Parts: sequence; structure tokens; C-alpha cells
Amino acid sequence: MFRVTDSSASRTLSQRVAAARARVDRAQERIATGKRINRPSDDPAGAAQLARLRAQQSAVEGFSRTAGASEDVLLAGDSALDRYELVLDQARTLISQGATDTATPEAREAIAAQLDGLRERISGIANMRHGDRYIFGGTQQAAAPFDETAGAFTAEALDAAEPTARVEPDTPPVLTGVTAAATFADEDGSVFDALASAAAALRDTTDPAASNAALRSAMQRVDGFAGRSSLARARIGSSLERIETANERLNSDRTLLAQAIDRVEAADLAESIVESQTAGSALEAVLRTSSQANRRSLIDFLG
Amino acid sequence: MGVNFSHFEIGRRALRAGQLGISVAGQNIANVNTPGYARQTVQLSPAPPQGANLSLTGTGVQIDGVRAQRDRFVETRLQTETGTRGRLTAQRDALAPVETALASNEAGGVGSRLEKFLNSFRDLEANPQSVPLRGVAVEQGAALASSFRATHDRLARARADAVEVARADADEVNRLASQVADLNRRIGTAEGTGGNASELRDTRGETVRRLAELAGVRATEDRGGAITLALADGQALVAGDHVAGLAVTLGADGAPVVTLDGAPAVIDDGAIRGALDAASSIDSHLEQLDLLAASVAARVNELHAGGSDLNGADGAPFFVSSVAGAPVSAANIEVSPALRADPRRVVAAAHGAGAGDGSVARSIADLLSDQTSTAGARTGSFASIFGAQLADAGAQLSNIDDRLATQGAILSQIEAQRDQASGVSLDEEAINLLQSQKAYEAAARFLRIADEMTQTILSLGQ
Repeated sequence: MFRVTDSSASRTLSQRVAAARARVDRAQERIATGKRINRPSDDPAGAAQLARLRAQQSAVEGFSRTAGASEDVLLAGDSALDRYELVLDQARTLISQGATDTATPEAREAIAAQLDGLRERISGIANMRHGDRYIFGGTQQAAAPFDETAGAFTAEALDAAEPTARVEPDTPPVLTGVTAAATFADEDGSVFDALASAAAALRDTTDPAASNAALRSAMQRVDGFAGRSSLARARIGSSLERIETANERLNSDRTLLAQAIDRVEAADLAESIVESQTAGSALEAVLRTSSQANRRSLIDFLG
Repeated sequence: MGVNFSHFEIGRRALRAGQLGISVAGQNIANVNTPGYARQTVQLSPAPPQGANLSLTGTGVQIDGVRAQRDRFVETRLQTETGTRGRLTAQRDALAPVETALASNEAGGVGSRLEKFLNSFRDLEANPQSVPLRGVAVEQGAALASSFRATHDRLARARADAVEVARADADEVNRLASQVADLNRRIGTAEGTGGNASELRDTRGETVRRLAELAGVRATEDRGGAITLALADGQALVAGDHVAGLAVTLGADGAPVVTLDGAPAVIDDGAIRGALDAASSIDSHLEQLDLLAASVAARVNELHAGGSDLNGADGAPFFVSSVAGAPVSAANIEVSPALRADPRRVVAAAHGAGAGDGSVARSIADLLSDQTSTAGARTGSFASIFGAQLADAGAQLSNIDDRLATQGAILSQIEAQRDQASGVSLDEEAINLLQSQKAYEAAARFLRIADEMTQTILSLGQ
């Protein structure tokens, strides 16, 4: 036989109301925040996963920025090399003009002067900057690669290594610039002394044969430098391709990570709303029936 | 033969029984909502007959006493389970701040600041000679250090609060224990002189239940009606009217110690145990946080030392302890003041590689995904190590919540059992009232008739 006393009835009622209210509260929190996991205790394993996913997301954003910055500096390098090649073209034309037998000493002097002018333009290109970086400085950025007063590249510049940057996770870093040594110098010196020797040969009227030989050799060297520039541009091009691939992969990672985070963290809005309404109805039912249920006892009817 | 006079005795006894019945029903009704009250019932039996052999006649009703309906077994179980609920509730309340302190959802959490700090080196890798980007790296490092310190402080405060709760509960235990001793004495006196001490026992029972909730005490009753309250290791908190003093103090190593009258004691249930268990869980979290901070600092410093800064000098430690001579921990980690003063000292390039090299910056940035970091017994990326600590805190709390829900259900069921035996039902008391009232009226009517009969006999003699 089961006795239901007044105190046990009251206690049961307050427990049921508390449970119903807690259900409503939880459902409303999910709707308000849109999240299923509002604190680690809601789903500890999910919380740990979210921490890892967010770190990955952060890494993707970091790589994205690096990829963008690297792309910028590579494009600047490519455009600089484009101008360099135009200058080399002009030099070639001038040298071949000066090498003909019909050139007068005045004409040769004029060409030599123009070659000096081209030298200055090339030195400007060699010392070009992108932001606060010397494009052709490689890893040696303390000073400009070409020393104007000495008329030669600095020893550090010739020693410099190629700069690299990592643009996507778990892959080797990509090239972000070519060095002065690779582009403006060869085994015999630099493009500057090649043009200087061409200018000197043009100005020298004493030994035409030697002058012509010097001019031919200067021409060969200029061709060589044009070849080096092409090679450098090809390397820059392949680096840019790697960056493009990296960007595609980063974009896809970004989407996948966002989806993964959503799957773990987001509350199903429709489900939460239904739960909230159900819980609310249950609460109301408990309240209503308990207030209507006969809370009177025999005592009310005595006397 | 005083047949008439014994009628009056029968009537008198009947009236008294009816009055007592009404009064006990009234007592029960008045205490319908009193916690711990056990309903009382009047014990009646037929009074011993008098006379000899063939002419035995009854002498009315005898009041044997008023008895409280208590089930001692259920009461004991109630105390035990209340102790467990007290422990789990105190543990949950003390641990709730931990997951808030650790949560890395907000921008100021350790997790997200670690990401920002390591990513600032990614930006430096792309532009290795930039001084402003070095300034950003220093700022992000300072933000990370401040986040470690703030989290450490919050955890330390939560631990101090837990110990404080245990202390306050110990004081409450002492207050209640002396009440029990006093009640022991009064019950002994009342019952010793043959009285009914049911209300005193009810009050004492409630006090013992509250003590079980606080300290998990076990109660045993001796023949004299006095209760002995014992702690888990058998030491007596209350014995008769002697009370021992419970205290929670901090030992030399900062760990909380429970003492009874100065000697070490063991409490294994109740709110005090719960709070102390929570304090030791928080200690473990503090230790893990310290290990993580030390490990982050060590790895960053190691990589940083592998390169040269913009001034050409070897990389100095990036993170240092603000307390001279102490190892780096979450409480004292900070960015080296030398670096804050001169951000040019932040390293991006390897030794001798030139200012345009970003390989050291790259290796520091790679720590974000590097799975070979360790902190204590955990291995993985720093993000996953911190995530694991977060998950632990969440799992602890979620676990306790589940057990608390189960405990709540157990306690409900036992309380229902207790109510069945000892609870007051107004319907029943109303019936008792009616019964006693009817019996009283009938007894009164009987007395009037007995009186008329006596009058008749007396008038015969005139």
C-alpha cells in the first residue's frame, strides 16, 4: 500500500516543475546562441575537436596572408625583370650599331654615352624595393645590393641566399625572390662591367680590332644576361603557380573547416525551436494540472 | 462492588483517550510541513481487567503512549545518500568556474591568443626585416602571457574559494554538532523521566541529516537514546554531550588539511569532501596550465635562440619569468622586457643568413600545427594539448552533473520511502480527528447515562 503524504506530493511537484523549466532553459540557450556546445561540459569531446579545428582555421588564414604577400613581391620581381630585359635589348642594339665599321668616332662616343645611361637604369632596377625589401637582395637586406660609389655589387649581396616562405601546410616553402648574383652577375663579373667594357671599347680609337673583339664579347655577355633573366623569370613563374595551387587548396580547406566546425558546434535551429516549444508545453501542462488537481483534503470538508 | 463507580473510571479513561487522540491529530496537522517531523500515533490497549475468576470486568482503555512512526533503516540510508549529494553538489559548484576560466571561445582565451601569437610570426616570415611586424609579434606575445596569467589567477581564485567553502562548512558543522550534543542531553533527561521526546528526536534527526550533508557523518544510537556521530575514520565528532572541534586549515605545502581537535581526520563524504576534492582537481588544472606555459616558452625560446635579430645579435629568450630565478609558469610568464623595449631584437632569420631570411620565424609559426609539442604527459600540437585540458574540465563537470542527477533520483526515492512511513497525510489526520471526536462524544454520553443511573440508585434510598 502506497501512502502519498502532502509533503511528498509537494516535493514531487517542485521537482517536476524544476525539470521542465531546465528543459525549456536549455532549448532557449541553443536558439539564442545557435550553438549546441556553449561550454566544454556540454560536449567535452566536441569541445576538444573545436579547439583543434579553430587552430587549423587560424593556420589557414596565416598561410593565406603569406601567400598574398609572397605573390605581391614575386610579381614585383617579374615586372622588374621585364624592364631589365627591355634595357638589355636596347644595349644589344646599341652595341651592334657601334660595332659597324661605318660608325664615326662621334657616333661611337654618343653610343657609349647611351650605354652609360643604360647602366644607370639597370642599377636602379637592381636596387628596386618592394615595401621595405630589396627585391634582388635575397636574404641580405641590410643595404642595397648594388653599391653606386664602388660601382659593383656588395660582397653580401653576391653571397645572399634566396628568400623563401611557406604558403601552405606541410609543403616546402616557395621561392619569393631571385638574388642579384643569379640575375645581374656571371662568372666574369656583372652586367655593369660588361656594359662598361663595351663603352670603353667604343671610346677606344687606338686599336679597332681589339675594340671590335671587346664589343663582340660584351654582346655575348649581354645575351648571357638576357638568358639568366629568362631563367629567373621562369623560376618566378613556377613559384607563382605553386602559390596559386596553394591558394586553391587554402580556399578549399577554409570551406571544409567551416563546415566541420559547423557540424560539431551548431545547433539545428528547427530542432531547437521544436524542443523549446515542446518543453514549454510540458512545463505549462505540469503547472496547469498541478494547480487544478484537487489539493483539498478531508479537513476542508469537516465541520 | 463499585460497578457504578467503575463506570466513571471507564468513562474518564475513554474521555482522556479521545482528548489525546484529538491533540495528537492536531499536533500532526500542525507539523504537516515541518521537515524531519515523524507523525505520531496514540498507542491504545484495553486496560487490564479487574475482579476474580468468573467475574472479570474490563476497566476501559489504557493509553500505552504516543509513538512516532520512524523507520530507522530508511533514516540511516537518507543520511548516507544526503551526504553523497552534498559532496557532489559542492564539487560541482566549486568546479563550475574552471571551465569558464579555461574556455577559449572568447577572444581572450589562451587558445585563441596562442593562435594569434604564432600567426604573427607567419606574417614576419613573409616580411622578415619589418620592424612594425616585430612590434606586433611582441604585442601578441604579451597578450598571450597576460592570458596565461589571467587564467592562472582565475583558477587560483576558484581553488581558494573552494577551500574557503570547506572552512565555512566546518564552522557550521561545529555549530550543529553542539546542537546535537545539547539535544542528546535533553532527550536523555526527557525520556529518562518517562516523557515523550519525539519532537526533540525529530529536530535532532534533521540536524544529523544536515551534518551528514556537510561532513558525511555516521550516526549510531546508544541505549540511553544519545547519538554518537562519527567521521569516516571512526573519530567521534559528537559522543554523548562531548563535542570535538572540526577545522579545515592549510598545511605547510598549501594543501588543505582536515583536523578534529587538532589531530588529522578523514572526511570521505559531504560538502566538505566535495569542496576539497574540487580544490585538488583545480590544483591539477593549475599544474597542467603551468606545464603548457613552460613548454610554449621553452620551445619558442629554443627556436628564437637559433637565429639572429636585426641588430645582428644572437636571439635572446622571448618569454621569461617575471620572478627572478623561478622557472617559467603560467603565473609569471611575460615577454622579455628587453624585447619589449627594442622589438628589433625579435629574431626572424637563422644565424648568419641575413635579415631577409625568415626561417626562424617560419619554424615558430609552424608550432601552430606541429604535432610534436609536449606538455607534461600530453603530446600533440599546443592547440590540441590545450583542447585536451579543456575537454577534461568539461568531462569532469559533465560527469558530476550526471551523477548528481542519478543521486537526485535516489534521494527522491528514499525520501518517498521515508514519507510513506513518517509523513503526515491530512486526509488520515482528518479521519483520526473524526474518530477521536466521535469516541469522545460517545464517552461523554456514556458518562451522562452512568450519572443518571447513579442518580436513580441514590434517589431510591430517599
